[in-house]
Amino acid sequence: METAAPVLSLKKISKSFSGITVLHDVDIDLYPGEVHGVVGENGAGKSTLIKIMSGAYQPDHGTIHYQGQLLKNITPRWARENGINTIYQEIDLIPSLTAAENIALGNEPLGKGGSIDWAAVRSQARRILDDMGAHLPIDVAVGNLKVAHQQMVAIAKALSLNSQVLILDEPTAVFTSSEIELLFNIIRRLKAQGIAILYISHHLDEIFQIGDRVTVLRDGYLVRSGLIAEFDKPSLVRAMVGREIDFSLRNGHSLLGEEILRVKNLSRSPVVEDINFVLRRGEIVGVAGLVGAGRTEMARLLVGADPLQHGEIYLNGRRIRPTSPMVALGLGIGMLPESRKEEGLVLQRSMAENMAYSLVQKSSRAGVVPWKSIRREVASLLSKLEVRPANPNLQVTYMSGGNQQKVVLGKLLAAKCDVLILDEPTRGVDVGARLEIYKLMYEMKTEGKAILMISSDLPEILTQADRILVMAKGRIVAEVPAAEASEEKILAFALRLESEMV
Amino acid sequence: MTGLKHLNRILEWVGSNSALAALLVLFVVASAFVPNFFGERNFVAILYQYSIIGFLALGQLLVILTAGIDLSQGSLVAFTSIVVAVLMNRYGVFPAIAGGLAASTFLGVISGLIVSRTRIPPFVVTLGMLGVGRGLALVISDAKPVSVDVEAFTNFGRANLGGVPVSAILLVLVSLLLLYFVKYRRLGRHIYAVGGSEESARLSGVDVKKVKLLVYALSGLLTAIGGVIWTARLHSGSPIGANNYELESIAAVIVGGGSLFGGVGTVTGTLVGVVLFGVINSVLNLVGISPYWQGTVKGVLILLAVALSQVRRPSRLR
Repeated sequence: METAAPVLSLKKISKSFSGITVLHDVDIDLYPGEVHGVVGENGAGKSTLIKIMSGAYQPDHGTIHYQGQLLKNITPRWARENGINTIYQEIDLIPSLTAAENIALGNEPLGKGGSIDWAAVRSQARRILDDMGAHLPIDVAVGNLKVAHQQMVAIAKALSLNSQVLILDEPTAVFTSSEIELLFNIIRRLKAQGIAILYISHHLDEIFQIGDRVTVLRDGYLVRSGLIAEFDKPSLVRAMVGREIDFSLRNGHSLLGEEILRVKNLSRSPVVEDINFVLRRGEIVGVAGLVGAGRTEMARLLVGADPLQHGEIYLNGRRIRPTSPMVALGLGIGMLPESRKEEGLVLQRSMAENMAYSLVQKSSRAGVVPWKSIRREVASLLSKLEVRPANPNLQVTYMSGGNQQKVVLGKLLAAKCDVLILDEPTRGVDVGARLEIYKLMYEMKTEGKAILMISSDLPEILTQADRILVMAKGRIVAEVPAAEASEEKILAFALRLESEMV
Repeated sequence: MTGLKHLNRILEWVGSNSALAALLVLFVVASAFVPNFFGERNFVAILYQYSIIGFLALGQLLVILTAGIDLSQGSLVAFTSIVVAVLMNRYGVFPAIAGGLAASTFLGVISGLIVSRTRIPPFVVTLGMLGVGRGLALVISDAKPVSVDVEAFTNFGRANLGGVPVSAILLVLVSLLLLYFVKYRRLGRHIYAVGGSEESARLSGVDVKKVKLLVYALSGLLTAIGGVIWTARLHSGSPIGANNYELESIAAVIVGGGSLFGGVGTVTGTLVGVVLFGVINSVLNLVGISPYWQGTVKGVLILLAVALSQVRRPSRLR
């Protein structure tokens, strides 16, 4: 294998978005018949790399050679038609069409007079799926198939286009172990057919099981790359972590007060399983984990955005049943959602009005909105939050990400929440606003509020949280006091390697 | 136990064929209780009137399958009628029909170009075209009806084969053609793909722009066929008639099982929807419900049908 020429070769690839470089001079070679694993933390640049390979993005610098030829300005369509296929996490199938039709789509076999030959559509689908060793109904709308089956249809579709390079992005994210085994069998067959596979996964076990080579990305840089035999799990994890952490951002010490929130056996299968934890006044508890670990889903259960399957929630010792976010807000539990634009704000309205939405609930008398007192309260919140520009009538859509986020925080403050659940509070926020948000969090903490902070930014978790809960596959797998936490340790828990790392 | 199973199955069938079920029930009830409903004369009347809506509904179906909407149909019927009437009085039947079809199709192409090349929502684009079509009809005709006295043409409006209106036969033929098109031609099949998931379709190599352009052009053409028949039946071109025809065509598509989210809907279902509205209209007239109330009744029926059809929303990926 060593001597074979790479089928796809990327050299010195760089890419930046609005001034932020997400890939720096990355080299990667894919060889026929090999599985090349790519690992890295959230935001390491894996997705960007895939998108460049599949023509969705153009690199700013660097070259791509495919089958010995230099590629320039390729489109996703060109890539697909010429054998580079990506199976994305969000499966690219059309739910209302059958498996057979999805496989053939865009390339339907034609019969007499240019009519679609439906018998050939079905037999082709059947043949490809049989070759893969996948058994699933081909005449059912794919929207009604199991996710694992949908993914097999997506792979079959790629194979129908004579794929030379297959890019699998987190293929097993929602698989059961038997489904993973099935996928691996398929991958082994594809390897034997000389197909090059790029395999992106958070699950290092899988990389060691199926990979021939592995490349580690961190903050857009290629850290290490080599044959899988050169690595063991601890060395791989060490390569993944090691970001600069500015501990001067450290969020003061813990100011532990009495217990405010207690969660018992919280479940919503299969995404959230048996969550137990306690939150005290004056502390910030970080929730770390990989994308898909169930963190946001857990938060949504706490505020009643999704119905609970099992479990109990106690606020100040009394059992509560937040049946909707409105009820939760009334009880003093507020959530800053992951995507502020869709879930946190009404972009077309002013910031005053946005904050007032949560005030209206509390202060309306007989259904009449007391605008005068609301305006007064909003003004004082705006100065506290240091929102810029401090014009309460400005439409939120014209504000920067950081200031928008402050407005969402303002909503929670306006509702006089004691428990704040912040889901990725600084995502897409510039450095200055990030520091101000940290400062606000610290102030809330000193006021005796409790904060549950979900973050995919490990340095943020390490500097801001007093205590860290690590989630994986819907469960809390570890609880680590901030003083004992390190990036490596958290990641090992999130990757569920704890036994091998210690 | 088995009784429950049967009931379940019946409910399921009703859920996925609500229009047909409603049509059957209504037909039986109306035949039994509404005087003058059951009879060749009334059936022919329904076919005359609703074959025009039928052509519009087929065009609307194609657009709705791509998750779009065509609000310009009523205006385009009026516009076509004026073009046909003006040309007929000068150049004769065939140039007039060809001209009418071409003119309306042209406006459909414009809508299609805007929808497929820009991010302007179809609702807005075709709302604009609604104004353009009506305006052009008023300008060309100077806001007056243009009468047509070419007998060969006006006779066609009343023509029948063995009692069945020619317009209805034509509608069936066009429907068969469309059935073939959307099932056996790549381009036709891709209409479903675009509506099911535009991005997935694009990544599969479907020419999304072409598909979108095509459906609005075809909607323009099918609307024009309805417009030509309408002109023949009126014996004139009217710049102010055919108001809200697009609402009836949209309703027929939705009641017939189409989804405004795209990707779901059938030719046969749409035809059932059209006939259902024809029957409802006839019953309302025969039992003497005031035309003012008819709109309300139809509106309520549309809401009911859509509520029922929620059962058949396609399940989404993940």
